Amino acid sequence: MSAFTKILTVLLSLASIFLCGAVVSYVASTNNVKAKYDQLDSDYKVLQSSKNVATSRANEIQAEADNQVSKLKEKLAELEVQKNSMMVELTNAQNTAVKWQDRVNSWAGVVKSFEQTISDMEKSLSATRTMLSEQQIKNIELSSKLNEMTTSLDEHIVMLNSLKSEKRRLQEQLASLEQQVNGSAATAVTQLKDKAMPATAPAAYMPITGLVTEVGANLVSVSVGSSDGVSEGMKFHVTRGTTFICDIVITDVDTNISVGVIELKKAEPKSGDTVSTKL
Amino acid sequence: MAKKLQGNVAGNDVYTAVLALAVLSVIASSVYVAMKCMQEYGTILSIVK
Repeated sequence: MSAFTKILTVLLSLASIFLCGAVVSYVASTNNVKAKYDQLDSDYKVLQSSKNVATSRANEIQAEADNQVSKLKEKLAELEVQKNSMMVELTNAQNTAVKWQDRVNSWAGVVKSFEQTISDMEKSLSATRTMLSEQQIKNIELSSKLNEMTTSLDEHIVMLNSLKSEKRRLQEQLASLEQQVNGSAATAVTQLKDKAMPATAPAAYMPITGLVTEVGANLVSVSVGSSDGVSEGMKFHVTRGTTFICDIVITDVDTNISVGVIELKKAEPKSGDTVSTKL
Repeated sequence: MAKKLQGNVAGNDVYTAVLALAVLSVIASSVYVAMKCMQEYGTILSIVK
């Protein structure tokens, strides 16, 4: 074996040993790439499935959201329509309210005019009532004067009748005297009366006077009764001094007391006021 | 002559041993790499699928 062959053999052996060592050390130091790949691949698959699930879920949510958006749009359209109709109704209601307000104002004016008219009529009524009361008082006074005049006239009629009977008696007496003068013995037709007497006034025209003894709500009792000639329906005039108070129409009569209803009240009667059938 | 021939034979054995060592190293490395590939990848023909 030549020296070159020997050297070449040794160098090749050392080189092969060195290379083998390098390869072994490299392979030993390398990581498990397949396991890492498998792990990464499984992770990738899991992530891919998660992505698919999330994508499907997102699609479902998107579809649901689109559906809800469409429903909300429909509701929005309906609400818009309702809003428009409500606006129209509101406008109509406002117009109606304005019309009714005008009517209310006109009716308020009418009511005010009616109230004014009613107050004027009430004033007129009160004035008419006052005038009526005054007229009734005057009527009572005139009726009392008429009674007095009637009484006086009756007295004069009675006196006239008595004078007529006296005249007739004197004529008969004259005739009998003439007959006596003429020698005739005729007797007088009419009996001779002693004296002509003035006629007394009828009892109905005699005034009955008494006092108020008790005053109730609308009833008054007086101190004269049937023994004084009081009868039901008789009207008494109540006076205090020279002031006319009211009238009393007798509704219940006892022997010495009577009860009547107040009429034409000008003032409140009191106990002690004078009552009379004649003013 | 005989000693010279005996000396050459001994020298040749040394070189043979060195070559044998190199061959054994290569074989052992190959076996190791093959086992490593079979363990991790399941085949010795491809390192990464």
